[in-house]
Amino acid sequence: MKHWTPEAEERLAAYLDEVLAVAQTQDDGAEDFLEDLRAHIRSDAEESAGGVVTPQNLERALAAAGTPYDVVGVDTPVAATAPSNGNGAHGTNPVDAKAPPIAMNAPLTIIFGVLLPLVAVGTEFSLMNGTWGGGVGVMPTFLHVILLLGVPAWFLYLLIKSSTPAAEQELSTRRAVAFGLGYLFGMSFFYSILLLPLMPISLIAIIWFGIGLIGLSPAITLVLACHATLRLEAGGQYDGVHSRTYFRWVWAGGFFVMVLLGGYVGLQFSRDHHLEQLLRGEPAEQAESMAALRWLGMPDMSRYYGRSDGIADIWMGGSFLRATRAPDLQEAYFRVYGEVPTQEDLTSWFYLDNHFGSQLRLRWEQGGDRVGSMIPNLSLIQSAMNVDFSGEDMAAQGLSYTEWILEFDNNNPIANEARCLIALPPGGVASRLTLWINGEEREAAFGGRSQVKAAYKEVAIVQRRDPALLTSAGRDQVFLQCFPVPAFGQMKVKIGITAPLHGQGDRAYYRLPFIASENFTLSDRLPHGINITSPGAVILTNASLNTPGNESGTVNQLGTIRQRELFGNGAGALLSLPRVFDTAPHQGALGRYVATMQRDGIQSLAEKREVCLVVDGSAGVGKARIDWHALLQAIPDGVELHAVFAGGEGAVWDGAGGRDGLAAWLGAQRYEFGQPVLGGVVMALGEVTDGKEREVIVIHGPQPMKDGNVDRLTQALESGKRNGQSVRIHLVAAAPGVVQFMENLDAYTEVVPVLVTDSVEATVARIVQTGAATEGTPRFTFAETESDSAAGKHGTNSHLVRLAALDQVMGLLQSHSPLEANAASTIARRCRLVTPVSGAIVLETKAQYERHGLDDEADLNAVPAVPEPEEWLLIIVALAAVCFVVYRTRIAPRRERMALP
Amino acid sequence: MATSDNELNLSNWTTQLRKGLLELCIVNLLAEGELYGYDLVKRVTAIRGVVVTEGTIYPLLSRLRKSGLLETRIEESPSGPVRKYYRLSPAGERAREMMNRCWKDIEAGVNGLIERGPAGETLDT
Repeated sequence: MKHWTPEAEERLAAYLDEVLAVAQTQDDGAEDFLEDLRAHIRSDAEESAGGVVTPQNLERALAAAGTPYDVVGVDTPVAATAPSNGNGAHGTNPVDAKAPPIAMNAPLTIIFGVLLPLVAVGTEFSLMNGTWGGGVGVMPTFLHVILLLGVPAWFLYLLIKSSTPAAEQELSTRRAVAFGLGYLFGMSFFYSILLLPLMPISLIAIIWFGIGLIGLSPAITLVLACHATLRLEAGGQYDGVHSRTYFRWVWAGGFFVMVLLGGYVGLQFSRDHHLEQLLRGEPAEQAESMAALRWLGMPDMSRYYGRSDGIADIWMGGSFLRATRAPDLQEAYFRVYGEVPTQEDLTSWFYLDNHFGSQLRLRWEQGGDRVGSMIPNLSLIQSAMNVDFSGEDMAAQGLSYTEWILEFDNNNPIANEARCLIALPPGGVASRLTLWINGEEREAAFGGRSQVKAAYKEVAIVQRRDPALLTSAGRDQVFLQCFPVPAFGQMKVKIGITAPLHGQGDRAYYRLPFIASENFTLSDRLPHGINITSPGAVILTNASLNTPGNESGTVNQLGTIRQRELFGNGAGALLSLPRVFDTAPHQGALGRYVATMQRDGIQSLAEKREVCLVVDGSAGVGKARIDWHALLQAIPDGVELHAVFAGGEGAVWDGAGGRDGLAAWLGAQRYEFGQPVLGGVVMALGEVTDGKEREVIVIHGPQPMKDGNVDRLTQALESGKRNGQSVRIHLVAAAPGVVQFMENLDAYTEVVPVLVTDSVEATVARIVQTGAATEGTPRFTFAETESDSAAGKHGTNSHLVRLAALDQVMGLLQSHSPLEANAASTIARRCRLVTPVSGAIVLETKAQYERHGLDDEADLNAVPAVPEPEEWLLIIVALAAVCFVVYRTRIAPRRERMALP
Repeated sequence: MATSDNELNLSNWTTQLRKGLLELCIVNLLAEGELYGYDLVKRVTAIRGVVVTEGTIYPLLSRLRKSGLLETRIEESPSGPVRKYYRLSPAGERAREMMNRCWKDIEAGVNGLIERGPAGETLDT
C-alpha cells in the first residue's frame, strides 16, 4: 500500500461519487461494483506511482478506467465532452468552465439572505434584553445565536463563491458551497417551522402596516436556500463531476444543523422538564429530577430568572417555563450542584447595555421581600466601613458598633431598586439606617415590621419617592431596599450595626458584616474603605491596613479590604484584637430602658451529657476536609456521643467502633451536591432523649436554601420545651457563606450560630467542653424605668442596651403570644432595632411619616414639612383657576366694553 | 458532414460489437481458471481488438455474478488490499459452452458471407 496525497484521495472519491450518481440515474445499483472499481483504480494508480500516489498518477488510472458514463455504459452527455481546463483534472470537464457553481442574485441575496437575518437576530436580541432567552426568545442560548449568525455568513460566502468560475475552485470549496447550502436549508427550515404561528400575523402586518418582514425572515431564507440548491442541481458539472454528486454535502450541512438543534432542543426540553419537576413536583418526582439534573446539568437559568408570569417562550411554546423566583432557582442550583450560584450563574454571562426590556421584566420584583434578579447598570460605587470597638466604653464591655456606607449608581433611563441581604456579625443587630436625601442625612424611623413594609410599598413603589427600608431576614441577617435609585443618579445609605465581640483566650473576635446576595453589580476595582478604632492593634487578614496610630489610648487603623471579604459566597472577614473585656457586670441606659450585661466565665460542663453531631452531607462540607479523628478525640470520654449524617435519606451512626468507628463512618460518607440539613437535626433530637441537657452540634456548609424540615424542627423544639427538656443547637459553619435555613428560626434562641474563630475541630471541642464556641457569652438583664431618660443614673452605653433589648425581644417572641409580640415590637421600636417584629424606614417628608403612623418614632425635626409635589401642584392649579375666574368675571368684560364703538 | 456521420456510426457500431463480445471474452478467460478482478480486467483489455475502458468491465462482472454465472471469493493479499477472485459457476460453464457455440455459428455464417462477396463474388477471385 502506497501513500496517497489528500488531493488524490479526494479526486478518487469525487470520481466514484460521479459513477454512483450516473449509475443511479440508470437504476443500476453501483454499490456492487464500486468497491471493485475503487480497488482496481487504486492498484492501477499505485502501480504507476513511485512512493506516493499523486493526482497525476491517479488521472492516468482514471483515464484507463473511463469516464463515469463509460463505466456505467450510457451515452456521455454533450456537456461532459468539453476539453480539459488544464488544472490536472480528468478530461470530462464542464462545457462552460467559467460558469459559477451556483448562480446567485446578488442584490436579493444581500438584502434577504444577509441583512434581513442580521436585523432579525438584532431585534430578537434586543427584545430579550440582551440576554439569551426570555421574551419572545427564539434563540435561548449562545449556541443558537452562533447558528443564526451562520445564516448571513453562509449566504455571504455563497455570494462570494458564486462570482468565481467553477473551474477555478478547489474541491474543498465546492464541498463547502454544498455544505453551506445544506446548512441554510436546515436552519431556515427549522426556524420556519418554529415561527409558523407568527407568519400569518407577519403577513397581515406587511399588508396593513408595511412591516413584519422579520417574522418572515426564516421563510424567506428558506426560499433563497431552495432556489440556490435547485441552481446547484441545474448547474451541471464541476470539473468533470456532476454537481449532483455534491448533494451529499448538502445533506451533510442540513444534517449538521439538525443534529445540533435537535440534540440541543432535546437536552433543553429534558432539563426544563426536570427543573419544573424539581421546583414544583411531588417528593418522588423531585428526587428523580434532581438525579436527572445532576447528570444532565441545569438549564440556562437566565431564561427563568426574573421572568414574569404570562410571558411564554416561543422556543418551548411556554410549556415548561413558568415564573420562578430567584431564591427558588438558587435553591435548585444548590441542591443539584452543591454550590452556591452567583449572579452570573443565574443571569446570562452576556448582558448588553439595553434600556428596554430588562427594566420592564425586572420591575415585578420591586418592593418584594427577596433580592431577586441582578439589574444591569445598577452598581455599587462606594463602600466604606467604620468599625468602633472603643467608643462609649465599649472596649471594656466587649461591644462594637459598625457603620457601613453604601452608595448605588443607576446608569439606566428609569429608576431602579437596589436590594441586598446583609449578614450581620453573630449576635449583632441593625440599629441605624440613614439615607442621604438632597445631600442631607435623614435618619430612619423604626416601626412594626408590617407597618414599615406597608409604608415602603406605598411611598416607594406607588409614589416613587425616596425611601430606604431595612428589615430582618432571619437570624443575623437584614434585608436592605432602596428605591428609587434615580435614572442616571445615585443613592447613598448608611447602616449601623451593634454587635458583641467573642472572646477566645487573650483575643477578641469580630466577624465583619458582609453582603450575602445583591441585585446590583460590583466593580472588581471598587475600593472598600475600612476605618477601625480599637483598644489595640487589629489583625485582619486579606486587608491592607496602615500602621496603627495611637490616639488617646486607642488605635486607629485605616485601609482597604478586599471585595471578596465583603461580598458573595465565602465572604466574612474575621477581625481579632486584644481582649480587654472581662466578666465584670456593666450597665447602660437608653431612653426609659436600663440594662446590665455580664459575660460568662469559662464553664466546665458535666461530662455525663448527650451530644449529637449532625454533619451536613453537602459538597461544601466535603471540601472543608475536616479531620474527624482529631475532632472526635477532643470530646471527653464521659460524653455520650451520637451522630447523624444529613445527606441523601439521612443516616444514624449505630455506635459501632467508638470514636474511631465514628470517625471512619463520617469519613466514608459521600459529601456531594446540596443537602438539606434540618431533617438531620430533627433526627438528632430523636437520638438525644435520655438526658435533660442535650447538645446538638450541626457542622454545615453554605446553605443558600430554605429547608422544608423547618416546621418539623420547630415542632420538635416546642415538644421538647413542653417536656422540660432543654436543648442547644450549635450551628458550626465549616465554610463561610450564606445560610438561609435560619430564616424561620428567628424566635428560637436555643439555635445558636457559632463564630468559628479557628478550626472546626477546635470549635466543636470547645462547644462540647464548655458549652460555647467562644468564651464570655454575654448575659443580659433588661428593665423599663418610670423616667423617659434613665441615662446618667445607669450609664450611657446605648449599645449595651440595644443588645439587651434584642435579647429581651427574642425572649418575648419565644412565647408566640400576640401580647408578648406587641411588647417585643414596642421595645424594638423604642430602642431602634431591626428585629423580626420591627424595621427601619427613611421617608422623605413629614406627611409620609404621619400617614403611616411613624411620626412618634422619627426625628421629625429633621424632616422637612414642605408640601409634597402633589400639594404644590394642587396649589398651582387652584391659583390658576382663581386667576382664570377673575379674568373672566372682571377683566375680560371691561375690555369688551372698551372695545365697543 | 456526411463523412463525419459515417465515421461516428462506425464508431458506435464497433463499440456495440465489442461490448457484446466482452461477456464472451470474460467467461472464456475464466474458463482457464479463477482470476482476481484487476488481473482479469487487464487480460480482457489486452485481447487484441477488444478496445474497452477498464472501468466498463466491473459493472459487467457485477451483472454476471448477479445472474449466477460467476462466483467470487475474497482473499487477503500480502501486497495490498484484499482481492476478489472470480470463477465460473456451473451455470456459467454451461453458458460459456452455449455462447461459444453461438459465436462459432455466427462467426462461420458471417465469415461465409464475407468470403462470398457481393453477387456471388468470392474473395479469392
